[in-house]
Amino acid sequence: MISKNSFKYVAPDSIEAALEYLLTEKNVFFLAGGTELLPQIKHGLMQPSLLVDLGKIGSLKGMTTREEGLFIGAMETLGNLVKNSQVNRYVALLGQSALRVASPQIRNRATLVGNILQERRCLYFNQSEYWRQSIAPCFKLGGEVCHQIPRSRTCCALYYSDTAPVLLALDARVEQYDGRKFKVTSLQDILLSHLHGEVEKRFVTGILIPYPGQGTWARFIKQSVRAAIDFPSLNAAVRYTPPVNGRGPVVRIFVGASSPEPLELKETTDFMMTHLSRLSELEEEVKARAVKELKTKSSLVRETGISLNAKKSSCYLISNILEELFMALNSERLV
Amino acid sequence: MADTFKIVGKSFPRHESIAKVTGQAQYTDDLEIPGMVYGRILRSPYAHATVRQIDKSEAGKVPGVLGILLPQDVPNRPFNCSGNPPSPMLIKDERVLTDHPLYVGDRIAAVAALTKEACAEALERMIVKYQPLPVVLEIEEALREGTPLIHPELFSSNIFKKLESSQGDVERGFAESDYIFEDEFNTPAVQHVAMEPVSCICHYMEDDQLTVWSTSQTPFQERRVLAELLDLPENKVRVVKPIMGGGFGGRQQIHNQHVGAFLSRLVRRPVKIINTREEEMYASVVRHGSVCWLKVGVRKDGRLAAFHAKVYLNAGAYCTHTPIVLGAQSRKFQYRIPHYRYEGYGVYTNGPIGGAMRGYGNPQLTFAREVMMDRIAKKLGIDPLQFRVMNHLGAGETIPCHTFPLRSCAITECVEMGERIRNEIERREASLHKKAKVSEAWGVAFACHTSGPSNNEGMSSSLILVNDDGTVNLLVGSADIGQGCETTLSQIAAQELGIDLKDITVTSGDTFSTPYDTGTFASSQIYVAGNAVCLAAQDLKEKLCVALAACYHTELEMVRHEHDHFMIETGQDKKISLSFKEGVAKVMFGAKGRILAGFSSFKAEESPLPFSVCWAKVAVDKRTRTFSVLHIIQVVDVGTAVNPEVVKGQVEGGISMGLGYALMEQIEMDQRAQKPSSSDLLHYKVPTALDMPEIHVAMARMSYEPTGPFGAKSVGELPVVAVAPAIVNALSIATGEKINFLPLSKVFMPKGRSQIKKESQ
Amino acid sequence: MTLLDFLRDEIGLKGTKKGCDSGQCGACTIIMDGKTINACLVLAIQADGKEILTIEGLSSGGRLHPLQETFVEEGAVQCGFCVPGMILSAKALLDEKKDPSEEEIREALSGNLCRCTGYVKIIKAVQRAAALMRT
Repeated sequence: MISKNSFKYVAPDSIEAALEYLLTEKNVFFLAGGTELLPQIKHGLMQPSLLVDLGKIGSLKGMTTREEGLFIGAMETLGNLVKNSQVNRYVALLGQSALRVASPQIRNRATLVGNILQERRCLYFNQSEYWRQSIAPCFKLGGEVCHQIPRSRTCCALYYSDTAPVLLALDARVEQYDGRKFKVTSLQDILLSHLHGEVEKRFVTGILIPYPGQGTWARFIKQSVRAAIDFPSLNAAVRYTPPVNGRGPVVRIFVGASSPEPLELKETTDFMMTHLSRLSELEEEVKARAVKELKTKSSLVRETGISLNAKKSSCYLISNILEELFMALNSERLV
Repeated sequence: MADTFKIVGKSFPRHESIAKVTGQAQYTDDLEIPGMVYGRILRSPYAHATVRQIDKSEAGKVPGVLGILLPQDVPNRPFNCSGNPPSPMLIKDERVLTDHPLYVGDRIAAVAALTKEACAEALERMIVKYQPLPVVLEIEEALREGTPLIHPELFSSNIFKKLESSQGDVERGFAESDYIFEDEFNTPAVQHVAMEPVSCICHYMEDDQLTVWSTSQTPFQERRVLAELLDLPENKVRVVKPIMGGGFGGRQQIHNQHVGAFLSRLVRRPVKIINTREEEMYASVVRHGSVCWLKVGVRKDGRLAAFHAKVYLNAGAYCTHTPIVLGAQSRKFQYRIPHYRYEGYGVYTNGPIGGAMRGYGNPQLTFAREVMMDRIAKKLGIDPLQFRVMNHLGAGETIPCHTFPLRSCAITECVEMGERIRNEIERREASLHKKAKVSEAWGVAFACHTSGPSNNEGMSSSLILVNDDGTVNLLVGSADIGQGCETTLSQIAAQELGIDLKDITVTSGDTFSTPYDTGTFASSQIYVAGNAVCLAAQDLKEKLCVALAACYHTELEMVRHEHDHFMIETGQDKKISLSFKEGVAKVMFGAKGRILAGFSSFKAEESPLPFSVCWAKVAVDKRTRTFSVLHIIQVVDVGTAVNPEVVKGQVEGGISMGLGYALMEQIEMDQRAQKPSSSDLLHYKVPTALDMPEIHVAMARMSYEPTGPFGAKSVGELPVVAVAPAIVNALSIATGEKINFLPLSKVFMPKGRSQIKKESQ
Repeated sequence: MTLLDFLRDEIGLKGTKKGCDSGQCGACTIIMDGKTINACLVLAIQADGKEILTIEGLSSGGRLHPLQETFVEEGAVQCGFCVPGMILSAKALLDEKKDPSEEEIREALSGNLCRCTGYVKIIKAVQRAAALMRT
């Protein structure tokens, strides 16, 4: 439980002040929406000495249309994204994926950045201290074993963010503040370092999503045992932007909840790119490749609520989305 | 039938609803008793271990800690925690605190402290050295040769109970059958997930009197068990049930109350213990997981000839309810069957405790049976509904192993009503799926249950106190756990007495002030408590008649209760008509004044069966293995519906529980950690508002149960039972696959109806 | 200390319920600055300066809010434990949308678990309250 002695709490009103705490104090955690951190604290998974609440920093809120794209402040909640007219206008898919996260109450607090930078989850990790008492601590907890795959030398927990596949498909970038300036990096790079446990003190100040080109077709699906409050058993984002002004088309397929990082079905999209001229004839081939690539790259582990068998069958969902893409291509709505 | 009554049969809103919608209703954790402190239980994190050593010194130093109990500080004698009337079948194998935990959550020690934080910290500082021991979690494992025994001190096998029940000779029946079907079915342990966690406040007072406020379905059984454990006479033990946030059978037993009582006796303060959701999930109680082997013989013409069931129930580490569950399970076969044999086995494991949960053994066996019935119908080429109807028992016939015949059975009316609804749905709904690879199908299942314990042990009593203005106070021992029985029992009293509902105030579930009731289980309220209330009202009317006769100096035969009035024929051809209130005003005060009260004792000698027919429509994408339940229809025969909206509410809620059972609920045992991984409401999934199909509920109107109050039967548990087999039958038809297990999420991917709708737009 | 514990234990407002303490059941739903939140997932101190509405604040001057009325009349209240959170989730919806569809109602209530009702009468109560509030 969270008692008066659990940790110290501050709520600075500027980015600089928040960063100062991060760099100078020990065992500091940023408190954004708190919908992941507070349950972790209650379970004894995270034990901050100092919580820095970002809620009073006005400059972290808001969405703006920049020249390079739509900028979403780090403290913007998923709930705001669902309703926001700018999101709906430029990147409606993001709003759709945000709508599938958790519950309305959680979405009213949870931030987009928090959703992307969430901890990988595992049935042996996301348990109370009492439950974990009878098993050895795993890699995530400073131990030396993975309970999912005992031979493994690293943590095999899966990554479940629902918004990440969409942002990756849209080539989103991450803005950070390092104390002197704001720096923008690709989301893919940030995720890779976050998900592989590199402890870097970073202060993400927002997400920048380049405007998808004219005529972009995009789909997001989330498969989960329940229609609400559930992490995905599989999610995927597919994006196709037709060629324009000499610039070639953009195809992206990202799948989540299947491995420790979001999977890019790059071989499939490369195949599509090299066969653009006769793409519409290759529907079955593309679908088969996508399923095969997903199966090959997946590294599944045991999960609660769904068996491995049921989970494996879900991979055909990617086939369903691609079918829709091909329908759109063939109807010449995307030329 | 119900149209003839003024109050029974009408959907009055529940009397306590306003308190609930304004946040005024006081549940157990909302109560604050002066001097109250908090308690927490230290539970074993191992499914099987011995406790080598407990060092409580550091814990004792935590500021605010008032007392710590270890196993040696409480009586060691074993008991049975279940809330059932006493029975030699209920093996006493459990201890208040133990140094040999047999399941994850078994109670080792307990702490009382001034604040919840101090309790939590004290628990953390308790140093307990465990020696883990081999763990047995599944039924098959427990039965295997050489597997360690869970209770070697009591039994030489992990089977601690075998119950056999039969009629005819099944071997002869199979010999006479043209077709024989045999298969094995598996259902998981599932949890009640009542929204309110198990809660209690225990106050052991200086004069050796114990008061317990608890989420209790059985205050009188709790009183009995606690009195025994604390060596107190029952008149010194008071159990009070505040407003309760659900039970579903999970509170038909003692959970933490004994620990709370001993802590309170130690620290001389009231002690409040509230379960965390994690404790609820696997350290309280679950529905027994089961393995059901069935063999059914049938004749060419579609008549059932023989039925043989062997059911193994995973009882977990302690006996609690299991023998009674087996008995109840054996008495639910609603078809005509000359040869029937039921063998039920209670099996010990180190898993979570299998106890009472809505349906009490019926869902497991009925699931297997109804899936089997569909396969038989298919083989014989008979419509699955017609196959069931032609074999179904009717009024005058007797369920195998029951002691009395059916007196009401409206199964054909249920079928007709449901088919009308189904045809209407098919007429107005074009297929939701335009994709070729999605197939849709309807499935059906029948169920029955009980009104009051099927072993006929249900008893209830009621006291009606008359106030001087002619309003009444109705006292019932029966506990309202959220199902609305306080209101429905009041309706029965009002109907019988001929007064308005607003003239009754009801008090329930307090062993100091309400008369005895065996408990809120086995769907007892309407039938057992309802009959008791009826009798008490009749008793009161008789007494008022006697008083009026004395008052008017006339013979008792000259006073009658008719059409809600007391008709008195005095001599001189005068007829006086008095309402209840007028009668009371006449007799209460004055020279021959008397105080009026009605009392009853009702022992249920029969337990009439309510029936239900359930249809489910599913749509499944065979390639991705995703499916959606689109519609559920359930039509019930509950005799007279005392409060139709309350009945419908029970059916709707039962459907959502049955849906969860079918689709997604399971207490999962992790083999590597050797313990349940279903520790919270994310790991364990219950349906949300977005997961629900379209629900259609109806009640048979032509049914009247002569032994029930105003023709009523109970409904509480019935609506859970037929849902899962109806869904599985539908999915089987749609996929062509045989399905022998629950939940379906083991091989299929459920999808909420809302999702399908969104995607088809 | 969480906002939930603060409301229940420090202020003594018991109407907001603790069902799981993990944001998974919605029983502790309250409205903070116009939006529904799980009070168990917010620190008490984070509510400093904010406007909080709990179930006790919904009726005014002895008059029930239309949602409270319809919940009672439609039989949407069984055990009642989920009801305070459920009603507040519905209120937040109706404050924003005067005529929500059934799907929108289910979406708004998707974070509130109910084990008793199957949600059927709850949806009906919200629909009727919306109709009452439109007149």
